[in-house]
Amino acid sequence: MRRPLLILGVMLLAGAAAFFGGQRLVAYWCAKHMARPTDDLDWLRLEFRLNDAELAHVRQLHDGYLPKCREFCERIDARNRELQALLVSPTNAPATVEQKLIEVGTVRAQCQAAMLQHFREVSQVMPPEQGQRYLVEMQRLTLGFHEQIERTMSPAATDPHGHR
Amino acid sequence: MTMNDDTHEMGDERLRSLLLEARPASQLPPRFQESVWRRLEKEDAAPITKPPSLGWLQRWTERLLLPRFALAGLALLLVAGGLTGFISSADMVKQQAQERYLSAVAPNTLH
Repeated sequence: MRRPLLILGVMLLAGAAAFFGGQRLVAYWCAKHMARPTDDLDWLRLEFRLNDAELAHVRQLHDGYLPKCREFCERIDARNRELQALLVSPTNAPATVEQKLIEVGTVRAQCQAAMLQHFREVSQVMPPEQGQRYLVEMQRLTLGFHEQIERTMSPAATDPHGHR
Repeated sequence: MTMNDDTHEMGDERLRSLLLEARPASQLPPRFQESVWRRLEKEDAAPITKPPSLGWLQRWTERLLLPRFALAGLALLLVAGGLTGFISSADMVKQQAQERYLSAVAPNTLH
Protein backbone atom coordinates (compact mmCIF):
# COMPACT_ATOMS: atom_id res chain seq x y z
CA MET A 1 0.00 0.00 0.00
CA ARG A 2 2.90 2.31 0.71
CA ARG A 3 4.62 1.70 -2.60
CA PRO A 4 2.19 3.60 -4.88
CA LEU A 5 2.26 6.54 -2.47
CA LEU A 6 6.05 6.54 -2.50
CA ILE A 7 6.14 6.39 -6.28
CA LEU A 8 3.56 9.15 -6.48
CA GLY A 9 5.67 11.27 -4.12
CA VAL A 10 8.77 10.78 -6.25
CA MET A 11 6.77 11.61 -9.37
CA LEU A 12 5.40 14.78 -7.79
CA LEU A 13 8.90 15.83 -6.79
CA ALA A 14 10.21 15.20 -10.29
CA GLY A 15 7.26 17.16 -11.73
CA ALA A 16 7.85 20.09 -9.39
CA ALA A 17 11.54 20.07 -10.25
CA ALA A 18 10.71 20.12 -13.96
CA PHE A 19 8.18 22.95 -13.54
CA PHE A 20 10.28 25.24 -11.36
CA GLY A 21 13.48 24.38 -13.19
CA GLY A 22 11.88 25.37 -16.49
CA GLN A 23 10.49 28.53 -14.95
CA ARG A 24 13.87 29.62 -13.54
CA LEU A 25 15.72 28.78 -16.71
CA VAL A 26 13.39 30.79 -18.95
CA ALA A 27 13.24 33.71 -16.50
CA TYR A 28 17.04 33.85 -16.46
CA TRP A 29 17.20 33.71 -20.24
CA CYS A 30 14.58 36.48 -20.58
CA ALA A 31 16.35 38.74 -18.09
CA LYS A 32 19.59 38.26 -20.00
CA HIS A 33 18.33 38.57 -23.56
CA MET A 34 15.15 40.64 -23.53
CA ALA A 35 16.24 43.66 -21.54
CA ARG A 36 18.74 46.34 -22.48
CA PRO A 37 19.43 47.82 -19.06
CA THR A 38 21.46 50.73 -20.38
CA ASP A 39 18.87 52.01 -22.82
CA ASP A 40 16.28 54.45 -21.43
CA LEU A 41 14.02 53.86 -24.42
CA ASP A 42 13.93 50.10 -24.04
CA TRP A 43 10.41 50.27 -22.62
CA LEU A 44 9.11 51.92 -25.82
CA ARG A 45 10.67 49.17 -27.89
CA LEU A 46 9.22 46.40 -25.69
CA GLU A 47 5.79 47.84 -24.97
CA PHE A 48 4.95 49.65 -28.22
CA ARG A 49 6.89 47.37 -30.57
CA LEU A 50 8.70 50.16 -32.38
CA ASN A 51 10.85 49.31 -35.34
CA ASP A 52 14.40 50.59 -35.67
CA ALA A 53 13.45 53.65 -37.73
CA GLU A 54 10.70 54.68 -35.31
CA LEU A 55 12.97 54.09 -32.35
CA ALA A 56 15.72 56.19 -33.94
CA HIS A 57 13.24 59.03 -34.50
CA VAL A 58 12.00 58.78 -30.91
CA ARG A 59 15.61 58.75 -29.69
CA GLN A 60 16.25 61.97 -31.55
CA LEU A 61 13.24 63.62 -29.88
CA HIS A 62 14.25 62.15 -26.52
CA ASP A 63 17.79 63.49 -26.76
CA GLY A 64 16.42 66.90 -27.70
CA TYR A 65 14.02 66.92 -24.78
CA LEU A 66 16.44 65.83 -22.02
CA PRO A 67 18.30 69.20 -21.71
CA LYS A 68 14.96 71.00 -21.36
CA CYS A 69 13.87 68.48 -18.74
CA ARG A 70 17.11 69.00 -16.79
CA GLU A 71 16.70 72.76 -16.97
CA PHE A 72 13.19 72.57 -15.55
CA CYS A 73 14.36 70.23 -12.80
CA GLU A 74 17.10 72.68 -11.85
CA ARG A 75 14.65 75.58 -11.80
CA ILE A 76 12.14 73.67 -9.66
CA ASP A 77 14.92 72.56 -7.34
CA ALA A 78 16.18 76.15 -6.97
CA ARG A 79 12.66 77.45 -6.18
CA ASN A 80 12.16 74.65 -3.67
CA ARG A 81 15.39 75.49 -1.89
CA GLU A 82 14.32 79.16 -1.73
CA LEU A 83 10.98 78.05 -0.31
CA GLN A 84 12.68 75.89 2.32
CA ALA A 85 14.92 78.80 3.30
CA LEU A 86 11.89 81.05 3.64
CA LEU A 87 10.03 78.50 5.75
CA VAL A 88 12.85 78.10 8.28
CA SER A 89 13.50 81.86 8.43
CA PRO A 90 12.09 83.41 11.61
CA THR A 91 11.03 86.51 9.71
CA ASN A 92 9.09 84.83 6.93
CA ALA A 93 6.00 86.70 5.85
CA PRO A 94 3.02 84.62 4.72
CA ALA A 95 2.74 86.68 1.55
CA THR A 96 6.37 85.95 0.59
CA VAL A 97 5.92 82.22 1.23
CA GLU A 98 2.73 82.24 -0.85
CA GLN A 99 4.53 84.03 -3.65
CA LYS A 100 7.30 81.42 -3.58
CA LEU A 101 4.75 78.59 -3.64
CA ILE A 102 3.17 80.14 -6.71
CA GLU A 103 6.59 80.35 -8.35
CA VAL A 104 7.30 76.67 -7.61
CA GLY A 105 3.88 75.74 -8.96
CA THR A 106 4.34 77.84 -12.08
CA VAL A 107 7.71 76.30 -12.95
CA ARG A 108 6.29 72.83 -12.25
CA ALA A 109 3.33 73.54 -14.52
CA GLN A 110 5.68 74.77 -17.27
CA CYS A 111 7.69 71.57 -16.82
CA GLN A 112 4.56 69.44 -17.11
CA ALA A 113 3.42 71.35 -20.19
CA ALA A 114 6.81 70.76 -21.85
CA MET A 115 6.64 67.12 -20.86
CA LEU A 116 3.17 66.71 -22.35
CA GLN A 117 4.35 68.40 -25.54
CA HIS A 118 7.22 65.94 -25.73
CA PHE A 119 4.86 62.99 -25.21
CA ARG A 120 2.63 64.28 -28.01
CA GLU A 121 5.60 64.56 -30.36
CA VAL A 122 6.76 61.04 -29.49
CA SER A 123 3.26 59.63 -29.95
CA GLN A 124 3.11 61.10 -33.45
CA VAL A 125 6.21 59.16 -34.44
CA MET A 126 4.57 55.88 -33.44
CA PRO A 127 1.90 54.00 -35.39
CA PRO A 128 -1.44 55.75 -34.60
CA GLU A 129 -2.86 53.08 -32.33
CA GLN A 130 0.37 52.65 -30.36
CA GLY A 131 0.85 56.41 -30.22
CA GLN A 132 -2.58 56.88 -28.69
CA ARG A 133 -1.90 54.15 -26.15
CA TYR A 134 1.48 55.71 -25.30
CA LEU A 135 -0.06 59.14 -24.79
CA VAL A 136 -2.82 57.84 -22.51
CA GLU A 137 -0.33 55.77 -20.53
CA MET A 138 2.14 58.64 -20.11
CA GLN A 139 -0.58 61.05 -19.03
CA ARG A 140 -1.79 58.50 -16.50
CA LEU A 141 1.73 57.88 -15.20
CA THR A 142 2.90 61.48 -15.02
CA LEU A 143 -0.23 63.50 -14.29
CA GLY A 144 -2.53 60.95 -12.71
CA PHE A 145 -0.65 60.49 -9.44
CA HIS A 146 -2.25 63.33 -7.50
CA GLU A 147 -5.51 63.22 -9.37
CA GLN A 148 -6.93 60.47 -7.20
CA ILE A 149 -5.95 62.17 -3.96
CA GLU A 150 -7.43 65.47 -5.11
CA ARG A 151 -10.60 63.74 -6.23
CA THR A 152 -11.06 62.11 -2.84
CA MET A 153 -10.52 65.45 -1.15
CA SER A 154 -12.96 67.40 -3.30
CA PRO A 155 -16.45 68.14 -1.88
CA ALA A 156 -18.03 66.18 -4.73
CA ALA A 157 -16.41 62.99 -3.50
CA THR A 158 -18.57 60.54 -1.58
CA ASP A 159 -15.96 60.12 1.14
CA PRO A 160 -14.00 63.36 1.42
CA HIS A 161 -12.06 62.06 4.47
CA GLY A 162 -12.43 65.01 6.78
CA HIS A 163 -13.02 67.87 4.33
CA ARG A 164 -16.70 68.63 5.00
CA MET B 1 -35.45 -66.62 14.25
CA THR B 2 -32.41 -68.82 14.57
CA MET B 3 -29.79 -69.14 17.23
CA ASN B 4 -27.25 -67.46 15.03
CA ASP B 5 -29.43 -64.36 14.79
CA ASP B 6 -29.70 -64.15 18.56
CA THR B 7 -25.95 -64.22 18.93
CA HIS B 8 -25.59 -61.35 16.45
CA GLU B 9 -28.09 -59.19 18.24
CA MET B 10 -26.36 -59.73 21.52
CA GLY B 11 -23.01 -58.89 19.94
CA ASP B 12 -24.41 -55.60 18.49
CA GLU B 13 -25.77 -54.56 21.83
CA ARG B 14 -22.43 -55.15 23.51
CA LEU B 15 -20.56 -53.41 20.74
CA ARG B 16 -22.85 -50.40 20.97
CA SER B 17 -22.42 -50.14 24.68
CA LEU B 18 -18.67 -50.54 24.35
CA LEU B 19 -18.53 -47.89 21.68
CA LEU B 20 -20.56 -45.50 23.75
CA GLU B 21 -18.23 -46.01 26.66
CA ALA B 22 -15.11 -45.76 24.55
CA ARG B 23 -16.21 -42.59 22.68
CA PRO B 24 -13.99 -39.81 23.86
CA ALA B 25 -15.88 -36.92 25.34
CA SER B 26 -15.29 -33.78 23.36
CA GLN B 27 -13.62 -31.49 25.84
CA LEU B 28 -13.94 -27.89 24.63
CA PRO B 29 -11.29 -25.51 25.76
CA PRO B 30 -12.34 -23.04 28.43
CA ARG B 31 -14.23 -19.94 27.14
CA PHE B 32 -14.36 -21.55 23.74
CA GLN B 33 -17.51 -19.76 22.58
CA GLU B 34 -16.25 -16.37 23.70
CA SER B 35 -12.99 -16.78 21.88
CA VAL B 36 -14.82 -17.82 18.71
CA TRP B 37 -16.91 -14.63 18.82
CA ARG B 38 -13.83 -12.58 19.53
CA ARG B 39 -12.10 -13.98 16.48
CA LEU B 40 -15.11 -13.31 14.31
CA GLU B 41 -15.31 -9.70 15.48
CA LYS B 42 -11.57 -9.27 14.95
CA GLU B 43 -11.87 -10.48 11.39
CA ASP B 44 -14.73 -8.07 10.77
CA ALA B 45 -12.80 -5.13 12.17
CA ALA B 46 -9.49 -5.92 10.49
CA PRO B 47 -8.56 -3.58 7.61
CA ILE B 48 -8.86 -5.01 4.18
CA THR B 49 -5.39 -5.68 2.91
CA LYS B 50 -6.03 -3.91 -0.41
CA PRO B 51 -8.70 -1.28 0.04
CA PRO B 52 -10.54 -0.46 -3.14
CA SER B 53 -10.10 3.32 -2.48
CA LEU B 54 -6.37 3.06 -3.18
CA GLY B 55 -6.78 0.76 -6.10
CA TRP B 56 -7.24 3.65 -8.50
CA LEU B 57 -4.05 5.25 -7.15
CA GLN B 58 -2.07 2.15 -7.83
CA ARG B 59 -3.56 1.87 -11.29
CA TRP B 60 -2.70 5.49 -12.07
CA THR B 61 0.82 5.32 -10.73
CA GLU B 62 1.40 2.19 -12.74
CA ARG B 63 0.04 3.91 -15.84
CA LEU B 64 2.04 7.09 -15.23
CA LEU B 65 5.17 5.08 -14.73
CA LEU B 66 5.03 3.89 -18.31
CA PRO B 67 7.97 5.65 -19.99
CA ARG B 68 5.85 7.44 -22.57
CA PHE B 69 3.47 8.87 -19.98
CA ALA B 70 6.25 9.79 -17.55
CA LEU B 71 8.24 11.60 -20.24
CA ALA B 72 5.17 13.35 -21.62
CA GLY B 73 4.19 14.50 -18.13
CA LEU B 74 7.65 15.84 -17.38
CA ALA B 75 7.84 17.58 -20.75
CA LEU B 76 4.43 19.15 -20.18
CA LEU B 77 5.46 20.46 -16.76
CA LEU B 78 8.74 21.76 -18.17
CA VAL B 79 6.90 23.67 -20.89
CA ALA B 80 4.30 24.99 -18.44
CA GLY B 81 7.08 26.16 -16.12
CA GLY B 82 8.91 27.81 -19.00
CA LEU B 83 5.75 29.58 -20.07
CA THR B 84 5.02 30.98 -16.63
CA GLY B 85 8.68 31.94 -16.30
CA PHE B 86 8.51 33.78 -19.61
CA ILE B 87 5.33 35.65 -18.73
CA SER B 88 6.47 36.72 -15.27
CA SER B 89 9.94 37.62 -16.46
CA ALA B 90 8.64 39.59 -19.44
CA ASP B 91 6.39 41.59 -17.10
CA MET B 92 9.27 42.28 -14.76
CA VAL B 93 11.58 43.34 -17.57
CA LYS B 94 8.89 45.70 -18.90
CA GLN B 95 8.26 47.14 -15.45
CA GLN B 96 11.95 47.89 -14.94
CA ALA B 97 12.23 49.38 -18.41
CA GLN B 98 9.18 51.57 -17.76
CA GLU B 99 10.68 52.86 -14.52
CA ARG B 100 13.92 53.66 -16.33
CA TYR B 101 12.07 55.58 -19.05
CA LEU B 102 10.01 57.50 -16.52
CA SER B 103 13.07 58.43 -14.49
CA ALA B 104 14.56 59.85 -17.69
CA VAL B 105 11.60 61.85 -19.02
CA ALA B 106 9.62 62.61 -15.88
CA PRO B 107 11.87 62.23 -12.82
CA ASN B 108 9.60 64.37 -10.63
CA THR B 109 6.72 61.93 -10.98
CA LEU B 110 8.58 59.08 -9.33
CA HIS B 111 8.63 60.61 -5.83
